[in-house]
Amino acid sequence: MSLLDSGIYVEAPIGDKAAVAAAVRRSYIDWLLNSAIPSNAPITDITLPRYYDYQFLANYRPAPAHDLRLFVFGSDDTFRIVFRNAGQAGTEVAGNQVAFSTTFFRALATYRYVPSDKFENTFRISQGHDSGGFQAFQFHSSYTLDITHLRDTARYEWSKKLALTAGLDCGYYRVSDNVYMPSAPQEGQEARTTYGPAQQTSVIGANVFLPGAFAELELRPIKGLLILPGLRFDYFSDISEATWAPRLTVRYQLTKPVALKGGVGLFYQEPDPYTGQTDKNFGNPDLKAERAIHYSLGVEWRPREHLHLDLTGFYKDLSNWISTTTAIRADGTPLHLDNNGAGRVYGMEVVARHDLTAKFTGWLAYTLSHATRRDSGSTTYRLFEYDQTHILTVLGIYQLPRNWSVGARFRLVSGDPSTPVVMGGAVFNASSGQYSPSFGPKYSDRLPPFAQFDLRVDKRWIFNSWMLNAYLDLQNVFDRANPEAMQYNYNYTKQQVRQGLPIYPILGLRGEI
Amino acid sequence: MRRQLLFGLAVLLVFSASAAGSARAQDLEPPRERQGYWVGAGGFGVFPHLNEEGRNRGFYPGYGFTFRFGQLLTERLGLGLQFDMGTISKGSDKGALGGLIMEGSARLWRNLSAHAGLGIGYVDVSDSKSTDTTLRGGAGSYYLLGASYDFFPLPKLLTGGWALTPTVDFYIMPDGNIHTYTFFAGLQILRWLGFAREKLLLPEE
Repeated sequence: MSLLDSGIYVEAPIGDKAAVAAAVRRSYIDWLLNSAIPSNAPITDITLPRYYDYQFLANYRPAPAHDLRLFVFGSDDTFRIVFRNAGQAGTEVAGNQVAFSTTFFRALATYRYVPSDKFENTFRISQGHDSGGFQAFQFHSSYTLDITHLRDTARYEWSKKLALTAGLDCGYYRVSDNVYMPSAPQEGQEARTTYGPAQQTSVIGANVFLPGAFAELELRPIKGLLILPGLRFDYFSDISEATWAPRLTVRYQLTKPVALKGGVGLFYQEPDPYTGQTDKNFGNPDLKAERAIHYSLGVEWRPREHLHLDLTGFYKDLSNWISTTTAIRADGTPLHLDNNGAGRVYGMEVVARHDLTAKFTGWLAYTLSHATRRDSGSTTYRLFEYDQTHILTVLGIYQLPRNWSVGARFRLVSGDPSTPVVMGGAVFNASSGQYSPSFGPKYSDRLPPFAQFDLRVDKRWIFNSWMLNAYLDLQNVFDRANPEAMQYNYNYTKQQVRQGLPIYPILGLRGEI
Repeated sequence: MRRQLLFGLAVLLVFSASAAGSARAQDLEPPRERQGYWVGAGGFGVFPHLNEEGRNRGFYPGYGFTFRFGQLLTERLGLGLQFDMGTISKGSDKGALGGLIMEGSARLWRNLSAHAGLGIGYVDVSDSKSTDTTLRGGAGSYYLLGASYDFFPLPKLLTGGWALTPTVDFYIMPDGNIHTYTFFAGLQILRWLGFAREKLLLPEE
């Protein structure tokens, strides 16, 4: 139980071969905020952010070689505001409501069969349902998605030097959606300051098949050397494309604490249907899958039993990248998107991990990277819209006497690239009644970095048949005003950073019986 | 931002030192007055200095109360939670302040202890004589440094006891539209719960 939500978790054995566990949680921040909103606020009705989620897990082992599992989980989030005067939002909007909702459900069954040391097979099948909607004044979108996914992985070991893993990975989706919105800016496009013309699109019961298969050899030709050549096949029915993706990973145990590792692999990603990339009104139905070749080289060092250090360099070459285009089809309709973009990503990652010992566990992860993109029709590379040069996370938990523990986390991330607005350079648009900004060079600026320090203190009381845990979790202890985006006044003569969450405490109790 | 960060780091270091210093597992301990859990409350005079959007507003004296509970992890070092609330005024301005703090404490000499803490605080004021009743104020990070001394005036118990604890605290809330640094001076009544007899190292009878 905390200031934000409450939940209950129950776990129990059933005989000596089975067990079940169930959990449910519901937020009540909506009740708290509702009582804090003044009566003269510019809203008439509000369903404040509220979420609930649930999980159920059952496990049954009728015999040592057989393991059956059923996992069911789901959640529901919703948020709605009705404004008194929607005219305050601008002359382009009609209606007075902003709302968001999302719901999902999954049931996942797993059967693991391990009859001997040489063979094992894991079969998984899942069924799910997603639905959601978004409304911003007169614009709206809604969708339903039924998903069936099947995965089977079998491994056979001929000897200590040779093993084969192979399997199937197949998905089926049935999608319905209804959208009436202006097209959203794609990666690399400046954020729009006025609404473009809204597009209407509707899909009812579209079927998408995604069959796939994979195979990977495990070769250990000499002591300490592991070679993993693999191949993956996928077919994307919505774009009628089949892909073959070879991969190779190598690991060599140089000495007992030191290992070298490297890999190269080809990867494919189909166009994103959720953002309308293959929709004829918002995107291009003739798009193909994006490609990426990943290269990595690294070293692992384990100076102590409980200490792990990992340093990895990486490079990614992106091709067939989906990019905006001004090209026109033969019939005169705009293409919107094509596969003539490209990209590069390179950098290195350092991870240091301290396993849980008597008193302490923690880890540090740092990534230094540089990501660029080349737009369709361009010959030069620009910074990727979400490039983050530095990403640092440090986390530690220390066990104190008398069942106290203290934990801390620090995160530091470079600000996202931003395209500066020329202050005072906006032009008044008489038809929309709004100012249109003038932009500087694309992504020539950055938002200030994100930095946050969180602190948590736990105290546990252990009784005969139950335990009580009380905790105080302080997020953003130094109350740093982390930047989310830039905000401008009506005529783009002033700017300020829109800030993220301030310091907030979470005081909670947890009981275990 | 830089001064705030440096002060916060200093408080965090004291807090961490009191937490990390208590590394050894606790076996039997000889009985003492300051032992086990503490829980208490007290009244304070508060002397906050307000700076509102860059303007020096001076001191707004007032009074308040505090509620504390925690536990000694070792003979010297403890962790706990502190909740403060107070009312302040100056001229026609009336207001309130307070906060919730995670507190670490370290016994320096006899029953004299220093404490430091991090948490979330708030301050608000409004002009009672103005037709504009808008609250001015803010909330944000709250830092504490202070000292106290436990006097045990009642007949001595085997372990624990009632304490009268004069306390002086210094708080800083550097964020929000109103920044404040505040002196708290007052008296608390604390109950030290001590240990159960089986956890005490007693001389053989």
